[in-house]
Amino acid sequence: MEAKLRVDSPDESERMRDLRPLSIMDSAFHPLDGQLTVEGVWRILEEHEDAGVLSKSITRKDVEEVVRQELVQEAWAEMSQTDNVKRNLERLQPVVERLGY
Amino acid sequence: MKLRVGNGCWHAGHIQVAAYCQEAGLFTREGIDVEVVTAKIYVEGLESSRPEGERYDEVGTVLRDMIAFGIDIIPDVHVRTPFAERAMGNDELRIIGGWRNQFPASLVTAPGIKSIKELKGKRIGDWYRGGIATLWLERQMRLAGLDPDRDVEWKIGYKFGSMREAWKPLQAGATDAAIVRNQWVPQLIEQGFNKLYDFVEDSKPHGRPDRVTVARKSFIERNPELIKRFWKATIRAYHTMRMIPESYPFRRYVEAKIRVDNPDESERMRDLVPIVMLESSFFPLDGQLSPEGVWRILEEHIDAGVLSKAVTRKDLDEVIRQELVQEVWQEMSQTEEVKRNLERLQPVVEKYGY
Repeated sequence: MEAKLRVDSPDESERMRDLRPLSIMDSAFHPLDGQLTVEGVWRILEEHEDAGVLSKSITRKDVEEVVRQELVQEAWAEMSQTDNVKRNLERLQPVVERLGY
Repeated sequence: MKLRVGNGCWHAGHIQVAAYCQEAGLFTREGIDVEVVTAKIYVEGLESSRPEGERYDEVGTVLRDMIAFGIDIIPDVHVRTPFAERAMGNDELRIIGGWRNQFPASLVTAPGIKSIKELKGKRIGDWYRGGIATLWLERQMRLAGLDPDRDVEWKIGYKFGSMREAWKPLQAGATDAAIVRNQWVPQLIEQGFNKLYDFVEDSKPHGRPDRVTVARKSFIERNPELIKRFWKATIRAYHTMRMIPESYPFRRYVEAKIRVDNPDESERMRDLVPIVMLESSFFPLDGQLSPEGVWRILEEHIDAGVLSKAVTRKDLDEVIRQELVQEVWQEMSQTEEVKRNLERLQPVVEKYGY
């Protein structure tokens, strides 16, 4: 898939770079439940505010307004009960223990 | 009508040109509907890449499986196969053009081993028993007075004997000799290894067409136009596939795709072909092979006892039927598109051959 989507990229370094090696693949950073934490987002925004690249008028309350995960949470509540996803999580348990959720 | 193209053994790379044509729309451009079929012909052959596996021998399986699985054209059959089939009375396969016209590799041995005779008691890296490399190595050993079954130890497997990977165990001391892709030979020589035989240099000017494109005689008679269109698309691919770096991302994508469902783990999991190997791809720019080159290989096989002595030079005229690809090339070579391709490829031809 990576080879396919690099074929027509307008940027030469995107087209020509080496593909990701096998050794970094199970540490891919995609959340297994499709979600992020509001606290994690807020910490990054605090960094940006402190660095002056984001208005100081942004508050924790904005995060709660902007982050709207109800739909992905609903999807996960449904999916996580299926045998397919239970098997996936069992298969991924060693990966989660080593590298996180 | 759908044209079915499939590989003559389980190696995914052998259908890379057909897959490239399909993905790049080259078959569609010629108005033909092609299905690329992988690993249907003699899939049992992959067992020969296991140390305890049977010897590879596709003779008797290619024609059988072409009929069983409805394969019309195979790009990568061992050149010995159609002649061996013919000698056994199955005079049905015809060589309709070239695929691997060069064997871009050399026999390299560990420091201190300066002749084939000195391989006695040594470890030889070989991808799979009974393949093209095996037949050549066994003959060379016999000529040097060695018994290839008793006097050497064979290290069998992709990592030990594929042209691309064989330098690694050789350099690491896990083997004492192997056939190594030419890109990695200079560094081994610098480290004290020895080059005993260079297949490219020693095959000039005819090349070494050890894998060839075949179709059944009856299919050719019924479908000359279809075959000509197949060759037009294939020759275009032979050109653009050797234009590096332009075609690198697309070639890589096609290779990744054809490896996904291969029945052999080493075919599925290996690293993709690195960019340094691509413009030396062995595809002939005119789609053709040299009958003289074929005959030199057959002579080796006859001498080694793996092809009937009843096969003569005259058989070549019957089995090699390049009229259709020659007709196509005659027409294509006059076009501005192909003239531009050949101009672009001139430095590649000078470095690696046609």
